[in-house]
Order: sequence, then structure tokens, then C-alpha cells
Amino acid sequence: MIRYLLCFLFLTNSGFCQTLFEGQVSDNLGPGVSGISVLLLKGEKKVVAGWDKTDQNGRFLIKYTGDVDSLFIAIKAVGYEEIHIPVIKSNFKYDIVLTKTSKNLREIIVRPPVIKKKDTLSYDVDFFTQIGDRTLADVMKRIPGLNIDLSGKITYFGQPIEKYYIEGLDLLGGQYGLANNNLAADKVARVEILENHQSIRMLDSLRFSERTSINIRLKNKYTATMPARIGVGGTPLLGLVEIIPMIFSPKSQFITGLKASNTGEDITTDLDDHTNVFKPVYASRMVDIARVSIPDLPSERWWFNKTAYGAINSLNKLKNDVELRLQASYLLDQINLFEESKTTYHIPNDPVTFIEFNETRHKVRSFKLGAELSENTKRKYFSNKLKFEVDHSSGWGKIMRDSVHVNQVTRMPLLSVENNFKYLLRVGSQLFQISSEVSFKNSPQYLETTPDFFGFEPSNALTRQEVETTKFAGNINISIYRNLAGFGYIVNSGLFVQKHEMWSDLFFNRELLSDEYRNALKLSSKKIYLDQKFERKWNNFIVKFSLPLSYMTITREDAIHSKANSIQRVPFEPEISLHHVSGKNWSFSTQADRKRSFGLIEDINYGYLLTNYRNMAIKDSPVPENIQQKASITVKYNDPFTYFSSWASVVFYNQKRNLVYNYFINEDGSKILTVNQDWNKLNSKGLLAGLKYTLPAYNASFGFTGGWNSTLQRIMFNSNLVNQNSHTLHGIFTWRIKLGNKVSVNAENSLNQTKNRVGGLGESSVTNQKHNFSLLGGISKEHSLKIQGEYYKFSASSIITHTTFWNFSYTFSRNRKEIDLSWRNIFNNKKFDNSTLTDFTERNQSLHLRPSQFLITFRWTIGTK
Amino acid sequence: MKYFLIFFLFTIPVLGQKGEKVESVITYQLSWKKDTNNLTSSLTEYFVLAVGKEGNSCFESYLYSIEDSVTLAQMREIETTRAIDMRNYPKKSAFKYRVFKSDGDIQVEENVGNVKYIYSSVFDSQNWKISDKQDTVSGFWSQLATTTYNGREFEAWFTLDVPISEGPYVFSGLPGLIVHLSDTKNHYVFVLSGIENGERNKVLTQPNKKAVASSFEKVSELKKRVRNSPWPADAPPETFYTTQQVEIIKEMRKQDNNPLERNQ
Repeated sequence: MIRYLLCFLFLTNSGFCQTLFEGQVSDNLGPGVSGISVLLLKGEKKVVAGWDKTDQNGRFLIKYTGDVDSLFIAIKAVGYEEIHIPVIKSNFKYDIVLTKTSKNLREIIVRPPVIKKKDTLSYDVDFFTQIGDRTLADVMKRIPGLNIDLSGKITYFGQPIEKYYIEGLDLLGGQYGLANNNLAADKVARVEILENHQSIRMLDSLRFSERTSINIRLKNKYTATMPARIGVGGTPLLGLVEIIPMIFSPKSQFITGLKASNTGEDITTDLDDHTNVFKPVYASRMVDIARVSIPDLPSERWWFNKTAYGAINSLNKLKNDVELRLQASYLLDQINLFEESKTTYHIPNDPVTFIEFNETRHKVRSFKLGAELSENTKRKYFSNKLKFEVDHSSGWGKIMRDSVHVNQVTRMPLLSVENNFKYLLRVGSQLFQISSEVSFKNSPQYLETTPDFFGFEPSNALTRQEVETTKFAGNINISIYRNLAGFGYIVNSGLFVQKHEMWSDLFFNRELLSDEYRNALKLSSKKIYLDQKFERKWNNFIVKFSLPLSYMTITREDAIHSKANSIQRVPFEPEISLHHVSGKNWSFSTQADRKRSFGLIEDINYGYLLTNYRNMAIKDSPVPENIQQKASITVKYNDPFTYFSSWASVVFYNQKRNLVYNYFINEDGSKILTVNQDWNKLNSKGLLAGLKYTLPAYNASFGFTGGWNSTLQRIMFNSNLVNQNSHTLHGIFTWRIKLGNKVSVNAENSLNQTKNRVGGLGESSVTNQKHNFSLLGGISKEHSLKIQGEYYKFSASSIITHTTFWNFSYTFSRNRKEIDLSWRNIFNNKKFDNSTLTDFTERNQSLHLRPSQFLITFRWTIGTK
Repeated sequence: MKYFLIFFLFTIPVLGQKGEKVESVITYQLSWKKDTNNLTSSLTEYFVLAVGKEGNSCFESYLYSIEDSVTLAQMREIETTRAIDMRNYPKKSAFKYRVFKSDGDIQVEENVGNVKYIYSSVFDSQNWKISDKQDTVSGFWSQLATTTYNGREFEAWFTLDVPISEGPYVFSGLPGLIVHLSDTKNHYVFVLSGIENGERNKVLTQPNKKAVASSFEKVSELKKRVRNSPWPADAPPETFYTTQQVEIIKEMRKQDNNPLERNQ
């Protein structure tokens, strides 16, 4: 008191007087612990206001000038429990007794959750792990900028990732779901996001990439782990078995997956190839049964499946940095679906409406084999990828409409062989690339339906559509990379050859119909191209400009219809992009391009083709031509250290094509598609945005992605040309918060709205809302409960539907083993009512659901800790 | 008896390997400017700070630590298995010293002209001034402190999340680990690039017993002399090199004009 009075009387002009904090630090072994840092911390942010190291007698003395409010004396030392003592004005002397702890330095270090090194952001997995997280995918969802969709595809600020490395090795290619969905999060130390990643090391400083890749850093140099799961439940009898051995070492990596399930869980996402921005050129599915529309609902609710797969992936480093990757998988899948639907075609004359009960069964037997030999160093690059695929897909469908029973059977087998080769060679200061891609695909398909909807007699006889497509494509090119007056200059020249053939015959009542219903089309295209690209990087700008020159000829020939002609084109397809990184966190990019594409064999058939039981098409047209122009602007903000990221992009797109599709729609809903030669335009604009924010102090994270899109085009109904306007709006808000140490709440709220206007008709619209909520609570260290609720609302033009689901699960875990008891669809909802709106078609459907089911699952992991 | 002797002889070297085990390995990346006449060019090198179980430490360049001890084949092995792609960095370290810190005492063992000298550092760890400024640096919530050392002013960001009074080179004595250290002209910038657990059974490097005891001033004088004339004092350079080579060497020495210790 006297001290303060003196200060007040004599030192008010100079601010505050000096305060001495002194004392002795001892531990349970006795007084006087030397070399301990005693800290004087100030305010909520715990600013170090002073400190001293204890002397040989354990004594310390800290001199401090200033207000003594909100001060703490703190000790944080290796081998001792942390101490925080609030300063009281009446006493500045401290005798501190430390308590020993067995924690060593490595255990008390708080590892940085985020480290940024040049273009690499490295996130600590433990920091982002929350209650209930098991796999790496569970944790990755909370890393700023990263998103994982239902199929397991990873996107970074809305763009798919290019490569998925584990310890720098690309073991899985695009099938990274096998590791991401199954590798335990506690095996992983960090997730590295490699921005502007150039995957070919020789091109590292020559070509600038804006693509992003991911590298998984494991906790141990050698990791051997085997997550496994066995489940049984009912009713009817449910079974689930999975075992996924994984070995990671610096020189070789290996993952095998064996899974079988009839629980509705979609285990096939493990085998999806996610890195293909464009889907592989598939031998087209020309015919099919009428499919059940797929709702945005977890597959466990509605998928009556029997699925099993086996997959082997290995990567070995051979001599001289050469890597050998082998991938093989076999999938057996059978899915049964049931649906009642009301379909309305909103067309200028009276709308056409029909009601159907649809039962379908799809079977897939698919074998894939891939081998890649590659070397990727600063000095040398080569890669040869060979892919082989055999697929036996079939479908069976039964439809009841009014008093008519429609039966459908289809088979769609596929044989595909593909080889891609790439070699880079340095000659002086120039870099040459030689590459080739060769592929062959064959698919003999058929569809059988009864009865007939197109006026054949007797109408209840069998209609059989046979189609076979064969496609050969080859591309060989040579590229030269060189530095030209500060610009990266790339010349890419080559030859592309494609030969595509399609034969089709329509049989009615086991008799081959006339040539009007047959096709024998050959479409071949040749393209010689010289593509020049200029790239420049300076300061924080990357500019790219491309001007391809090409000459192409397309020849088509149909022996049955005696048609043959060819066209020659010199497409003008420039492309320009600008990328700018501004300051620490902002980046901006803009891009514009013009592309000209030509129709595939699916777009031409001179004879009628039955594509499903009520759709027929005849496309007696010139070669379809599309001219597409696209421009986009994207702004991105990412502050990894405050865990806030956001992005927004605007896209403008217009397309001009030489054909207008014309639909002849009958009263029973059957359609005949024809084409008219006329210039048709499609204009589209859209806005997409997203943000993600993590608040470590509150153990909470929030995210939003949403967008708006508007499209205007012309379509034709019964030879009347009309405008079609459509607007879509969607938004998903996700949030996750941890309450205390034991309770975690997750929620997702989404809204989708589609509005269409066809010709002078009124607007038709479908709005759907989805609200998911889950509460995960730990009763004790070993016991936890999860309650999950889902609410869906669909508002269509004539119907509003609501559906609510509840699920419950209990988990007991000990020593890396878990027993999980789950009760799905507690209130035994039998149907899921939903609506969709596409083009001029509105569908209100009621999908049959799996009944209320129990499942007991035992989950464990064998392997190194 | 014979077997006992054999056992005894084999046991001695094994016992001799005992020492303070490495608890943590802290890595720093140094970016430095060698030539004050060409400040646009900077060089990079990695350093390792090994912290022992008893709190003692050894700081040295990663390249210097492997220069003498591994064969070329082993180096290739390290290159292929480590995250750091050493092909981008010089094969020989520009910093041939080790800094040993023990209970406030800082000893520097430095290789000058192929002779190892050991001396006490003149860095005063009591000379830090702590500012109120805080920020996230290298992923850690950190606070700023400043000091002067040998003609340069240094700014250090330290974190209480790693409660050890350690840092790069001789810099230490703050209540937490230094995660970022630079002089005010940014000629020398140390950035924390990793904290890893020590390898099992790895022992902390100790000062070389054959190192010649010296002082900072004497070693500084010696380094100055070697920099100015890197050939033996009693022999003219032309004895070993052609005139053209001598010119090249002199030019290279001229470009090496910005040591961390300005007084050297």
C-alpha cells in the first residue's frame, strides 16, 4: 500500500513505477531448481513482459515497469507441469513448487498446424482431427480450401487435384479413394498441398502449372497397417467384410483392398478414377433400359446392392530412379432399385403426363489392369502407361404403366485397351517431348423390349435393337520447349487419327426390319496440328497464350443408306490466361478460350435407333459442329494461418452449333428425336463461390459453397422452335462445432432451385432443401453415441413432399479396436418422395427405401503404431 | 578367460558410444547474401539444431555434418529418402562450424584452413530486448525480440509453444525457441523449417577433442587473413596456381564480402 502511495505521490508524471517480482522455484526433490525460465505474461494474448532464468539456488528476479493488472507468472519447462499464477497486487513474492511430469520435449512441443514454404502448404493432421474422425478423408474435409464430394473426389478451391502422392510417390493415380477413404488419420503426420505443382520435374522451371496436388506425409518412415471391418445385421441378412493391407516404405508402396457388402454402402468409390478432368473416351452406351433417377441421398438408404471388389496396387522403385506401378481390380456389383414416378413434359401444346412403376436391376462385372513404367527426375523423364479393361454390364427392367407391363433386357459389354507413352529429351538448351496415345474400344450391345410403343404390329411382340461400336484412336506428337526472350515457348505438333464404326439392326418379332431401321456408319477423322504456346512468369504474374493451327478432315460413310461425304476445316482455337498472386493471401486468375468441336458417332444415325423402350432417334444431319467460347474470372483468398479461405468465380459461356434438336412427343410419352440443320445458340452465365473458416479457439469450422447459373437456348417440339430459359441456384452451408471435450455437432444445410420456362408457357420450378444434423457424444473415453437426423423437402409445380430420417449408433472402442452398433432409418420410412426438373421434363418420383435395419460392426487395425 | 577378454575388448567401444541422446532435431533454412555488391542474389543452406535429453545442443550445417562422414553413395541415399531435394543446393557447406550450447555457455568449433579451433562465443544472451509485437510465424504464435551482435541488429521471433531457450547459430537465451531470425537488412534470414523427433539411439555430437583452444578475436583475425590470401603465407600463390586461376580466386574472394560477423 505504501509502495503504491509513494508511486502516486512522486512518480505520476513518469507513468508507472518499477515492480520487482522475485521468488524461488523448487520441485518435490527439494528447493532450488536452476535454469528454469520464469515468465511474466501480460493480458489475454500472454505477451512476455519480462522473464528471468533461475540461478543455482532456484531464485529469480523480474523487473517490470507498468500496470500490474492482468499479469501472470508462468513457467513452461521440459519435465515439469505448466504453471500459471495470476498476479495479486498485494504480493510480488513467489515460492513456486513444480510438479514433475514424464512428458519429454517431443511430447510438449505444440507442432505448428500450418507451415507455408513457397508453393507448399503443410497442415498438421492431429490439429484438424476431431471426435469421430477415423480416416484421412474425415480430417481432410476440414482443411481450408479442400473439399471432398460423396464419390471421394478431392477439390481445392473448386478445382480437382492433379496428383495424390503418398510420401512423394504416385501409387494410386486417380484411384486415390482407396487410400484416402481407408488410411487411418492417426498414421498421417501432415497433408501437404502443392500449389502450382508441375508433376514432370524436367519441366519444373519451363512450364508453369496452376494445378494443385496433394502429398501425404506419414508419421513413420516405414508404415505397415491393415484396417479391417466385419459387420453383420438385418433384416434381411446384412453382411460387410473389408480388409485393406497397406505398406509404405521409401522404396516401395503397396495397397490391397478386399471389400464385400450388401449394406447399401457404396464401396465402389474406392475404385473411381478422380484425376480425369474429362471422362475417358468410352465406347458409348447407345442403348439402355429406363433408369431410376438417382437422388441426392446416401446410398445406404435406397441401394439394394450386393457388391464385392478386390484391388491390388503396388509401386516399386527400381534401379536408376525408375518406378514400376501395377494396378489391378475386379468388381462385382448388383443393384436393385424400385421407383414410382410421374413424368410431365412441359411443352408448348398440352403437357404430356404419364405414371410408371419401375423396377430395375443392374449388374457389373469389371476387370481393370494397368501398368506404368516411369522415370521422373530433373535429368530424365519417360513414362509408358498400359491399360486394359473388360466390362460385362447388363440391365433388366420391368415397368408397369396403366395396364401395360414393359419388359426390358440389355447387355453392354466393353473391351478397352489403351497405351500412353511420353519421353522427354534434352538437346543443348532445348527440351524435346515425344508422346503417343493409342486406344481401341469395342462394345457389342443390345436392348430387348416388349411391348412396342412405335406402332409396330402386333404391339406385344419382342423388339430387339442390336448395336456394335468400335473405335480406334491414335495420336503422335512432338513438342519442343525452349526459352525465347524470357518467354517459355512450346511448340506442339502432331497427327491425330480416329476411326469410329457403328452397326445397328432393329428386329421386331425376331425379324430384321427394313434399312430404314439399320445403320452401318463409318466416321473417320484426321487432324494435323501445330500448337504454339507462350508462357511468361515475372514477379507474381503468369501469362499463357496459345494459338493452335490445325487442319482436319472428317469423312462419314453409310453403306446401307448410300451416304458419303467429307468436310475439311481449319479451326481457330486461341486461348489466353492470366494468373496473379497478390500479397500474401490473394490470387486472381482469368482465362478465355475458343474451341471448335465436331460431333461423335453418337450424334449421327441415318437409320432409326431405339435408345430405350420409349425413345427413338434418327439424326440424318451433317457432321455436328460446335463453336464454344468461354471466359472466366476467379478471385481467391487463402490465409492458412487464420484458417480462412474463400473464392469466387464468374463464368461466361456461349455455344453455337449447326443443329437444332427436334422432339416428336406422343401422348403416351414416347419420343422420336430428329435433327434440323439450323444455327442454334446457347448462352450461359454463372457465379460460383465458397468459403471455409476454422476457429481453433472454439473448436468450430464453417463452410459455404454456392452458385447461380442461367442458360438460354432454342429447342424444337413437333417442329415448333421455342426458347428455353433455365435458372439454377444452389447453396450448401456446413458447420461443425465441438462442445467441451466430449460433444461434437455437425450440420449441413442445402438449398437447390431449378426454374425453367419453355416457349410462352408459364414457369415450372423445383426447389429442394436438405438439412442434415449429427450429434456425437463421448460418454467416457471408451463409449460414444451418435444421433443423426436428416430432413428433405421438395417443392414442385403440383406437389410438396417432406421426409425425415433418424439414425442412431453406439461405439465402444479400446486399444484401436471398435465395436459399432447402428440402427438406420429408425422410423422405417418406406419411400423417399422427390422431384427433379431437367430441360422440359419434370419428374415427381417416389423411391423405395431399405427398411429399418441394424448393423453390428467390428473394426480394428493391425500394424505399426 | 580368453572369451572374457574378447567380450571385454568388444564391449569397450560400445560403451564408449554412450552420450547424451538426441531428443529433437530442429531444422532451419538460411537464406543469405554473400556479396554486398550483388544483393539481388541470395544463397540457401539448411542447418540442423540437435537438442539433447539434458538440454544441451549442437547447431551445424546439414551439409557440413555429412561432408566428412558419408560416402557419395550414402549421400545419394539421403537425397532419395529425405524430403529436401539436396540437388538444388551446393554440395559443400559455406559454414564450417558447430555451435555447442550448454547451460548458458556457448562454444563454437570452427574449421579454418583445415584446422579446427574452439572458442567461446561473444554473443551476450542477456542482451535481448523483448517487444510487445506478436504474430503467427512459421505456424507458431510468436513474439518479437531484438538484439545486436557483431555489427548487425537482429530481429528474432520466439515461441513459448516450444519452451527451450534455443535458436539458430549462437542466438539463444530467450524463453522459447527462435522460429525466425534475421538481421534488419535481411542479409541473413534463418527460418524454422521443421521439428522432428530424434532418431533412436542417436547421440549428440560433442566438440572435437583435438580442436585447438582459441578465442573469437584470434579466429576472426585468422579468417580475415585466409579470406584475403587463401594460400600459405610463406609461399607465393603462383607456386600452386596459374596467374589466371589466382585472378579467379581473388575475384571469388571479393564476392565473399558479407560475413554474418561484420567485424570479421
